[in-house]
Amino acid sequence: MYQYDELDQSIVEQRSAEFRAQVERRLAGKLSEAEFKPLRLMNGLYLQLHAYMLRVAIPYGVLSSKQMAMLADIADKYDRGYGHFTTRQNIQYNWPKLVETPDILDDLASVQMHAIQTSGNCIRNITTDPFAGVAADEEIDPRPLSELLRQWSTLHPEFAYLPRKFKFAITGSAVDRAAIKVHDIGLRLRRGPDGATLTDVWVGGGQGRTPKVAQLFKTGVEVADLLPYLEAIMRVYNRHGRRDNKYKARIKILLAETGLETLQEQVETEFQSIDQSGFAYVPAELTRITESAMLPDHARYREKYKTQVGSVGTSPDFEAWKQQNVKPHKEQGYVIAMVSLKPAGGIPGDATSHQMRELAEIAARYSHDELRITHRQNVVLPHVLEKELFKVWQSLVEIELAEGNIDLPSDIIACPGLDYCALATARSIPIAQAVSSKIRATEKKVDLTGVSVNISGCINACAHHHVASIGVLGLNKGGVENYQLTLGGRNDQSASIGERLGPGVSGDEVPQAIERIINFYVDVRESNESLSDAYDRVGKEAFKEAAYV
Amino acid sequence: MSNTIRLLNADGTIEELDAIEASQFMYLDGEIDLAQLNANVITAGPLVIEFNGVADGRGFSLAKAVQGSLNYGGRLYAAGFVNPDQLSLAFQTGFHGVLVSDERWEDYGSESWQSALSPIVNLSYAGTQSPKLKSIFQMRHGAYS
Amino acid sequence: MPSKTPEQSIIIANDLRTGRSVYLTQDLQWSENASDAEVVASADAANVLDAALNDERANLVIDPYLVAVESNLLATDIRERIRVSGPTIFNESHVSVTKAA
Repeated sequence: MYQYDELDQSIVEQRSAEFRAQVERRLAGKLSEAEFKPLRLMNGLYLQLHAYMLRVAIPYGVLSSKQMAMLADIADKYDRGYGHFTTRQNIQYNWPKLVETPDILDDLASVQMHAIQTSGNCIRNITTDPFAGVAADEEIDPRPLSELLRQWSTLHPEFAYLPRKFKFAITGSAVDRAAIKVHDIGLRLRRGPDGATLTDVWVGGGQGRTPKVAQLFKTGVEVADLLPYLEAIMRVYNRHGRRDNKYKARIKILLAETGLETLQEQVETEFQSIDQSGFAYVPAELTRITESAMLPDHARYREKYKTQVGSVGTSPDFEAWKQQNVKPHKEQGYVIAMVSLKPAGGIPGDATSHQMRELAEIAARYSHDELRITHRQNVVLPHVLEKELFKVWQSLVEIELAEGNIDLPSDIIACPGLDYCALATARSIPIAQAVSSKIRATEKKVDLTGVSVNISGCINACAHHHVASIGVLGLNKGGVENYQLTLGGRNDQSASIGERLGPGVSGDEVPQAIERIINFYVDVRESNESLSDAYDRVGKEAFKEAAYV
Repeated sequence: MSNTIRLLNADGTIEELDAIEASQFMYLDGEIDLAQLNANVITAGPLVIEFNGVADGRGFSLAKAVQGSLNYGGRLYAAGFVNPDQLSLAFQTGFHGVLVSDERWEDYGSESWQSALSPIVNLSYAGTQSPKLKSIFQMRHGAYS
Repeated sequence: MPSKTPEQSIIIANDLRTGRSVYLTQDLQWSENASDAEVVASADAANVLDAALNDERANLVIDPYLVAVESNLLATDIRERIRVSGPTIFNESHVSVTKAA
């Protein structure tokens, strides 16, 4: 994985020192809350329902063992012994103190981490395929470009005060595991006829109260042109995006109001006038990043362990876990092992400091020191030798993280909801806990792979309910929590927005309604048909009748 | 209160201008649509871009656009709602200086403005106008602009 | 903030330094313990809130406001009830794993 040089290191250290000075000015009364708020938000510090919340960036979801161990230490030292992994592949702490936050940022900087731009109206953490660089089906490893984008967007002076937040996602596979079509800008890397990397640029996707699937904005952008082209899009958005209404301020609204063709022309004009010489560093920088040992030397390790007997032992539980949680790796002898943070009845995405520390240890021993965080709030061990898989599973059993439910309905995405979040209108975690407890038994008997359940606690849709097979949206109706169900969403290459099924139900009724929907789907599905495909074929009325009794 | 306007330069110096002097500059509203603007009206400058709110970053992009598509190469200043924590952003997007009214100077206090001219973060990945802000890409790969 | 002053309310804010929810007490101090909160009658609400807003200007607390409470001192709105009582969730796996450590 990418290692900071001393310049990258300086920037996070300086930023931490700068925030320490800003906190001092705030405490001394030299900055009002109104002035301080944008500054703390740019460093990932929110004020939530019960306390501050610090969101730490995990650039494109990649973590070293040392970094994961530091996240555990921070949870113990400054928080309440746990953290919450998010759909932006980040981690959130729910109880940090303002006065200790500069110390947390210093601790993060000591392991090449930070909380820069995890909030605020700026370019947020770049996300990508959690299997980047190792997926068996990958065309192009998106991580070098992700790292280039991370650097380009970090403290970008022009884009620190955009009309609204801005999210990028990148994939280099035909199977989209990064949900690029529901991002402000989604990038699909592919090979051109001569083998060179080309990028298709998708613009204007997003969720929230006006969900949109992105439109194909420009095809085949060459690597040398990519940053200037993205800068041109950002410049047009920064100047013309709406600032009069924050719910209409995302680029998806600008695209809808301006029209695809006109916006493309505006961007093209801007792109033509950009001083290209300002981007002359791109080829050299990409080479530098690519050569910074982004991947371990798999062949060398395979050789080293070739005489080792390896994984001995099996069990039905292991086999069931392996069936669901282990994915093919591009290197022979290796697999990708996924660690579910969704135990039945548990809090989606939460991990204790003990679990984080042990995961760091497991990754150090079995996954070349590397972990990934997925946008579905799980953890990936990206480089596991197949013959060590049983030992990995045994280690996960010991820390209660061996739930074999990846891509099953109980692998729920849930936002913190009204239990923590100041914006939420209803709770989402208790609903997720009740749903996963109820559905886990069913999914052990019937194959429900690909049926996703995402639960958001408000219209901002942090849990991506719009693009789930079954989406749940928590609202407040006259002081009472009420949950709407949506069906037919997809977050992959054929992204689609789910459709509202009917009237909302109470929290108690959500698990039964979901179970009835799933049972109906199992009854009507044709071979290999996804829930959303079945929904499209059979129609809303039939599903509605099944869901409500 | 006097009508002094302070010009905070990217090199860290501060000049005091009187209102008449400052009124000679050409002013562009940060919200202006460049397509409506006749490029010929922009003379040798100085050109001032006015920021309309502390959270309104349009001026930063407008600065890049006038230097790009309008080929403006003269002195460029920011004015209006630019606060001390945004000074370095202005210098990095091509402004040579920021005009600060007496009122805003007092609001934030001279200490805040002075210290913002020597920012703690003196590195930036991208290019910059300010000698106090070094570009990381430039340091790694040599001069390119 | 509610549009009309409730019959009974308490004043809640966040402590600037820690961010924790705090409640205005009878002697105009701030306590992390909700049971220390002074219950304010509607006639006094504006004056007491003024005192709280002074503490905001003095950079002690952030965003103080009145929360309507019922006779049993429970907030009437679910959001405020959760804010006062803390997260409603309890992850047993967290506890068991931490204890095992």
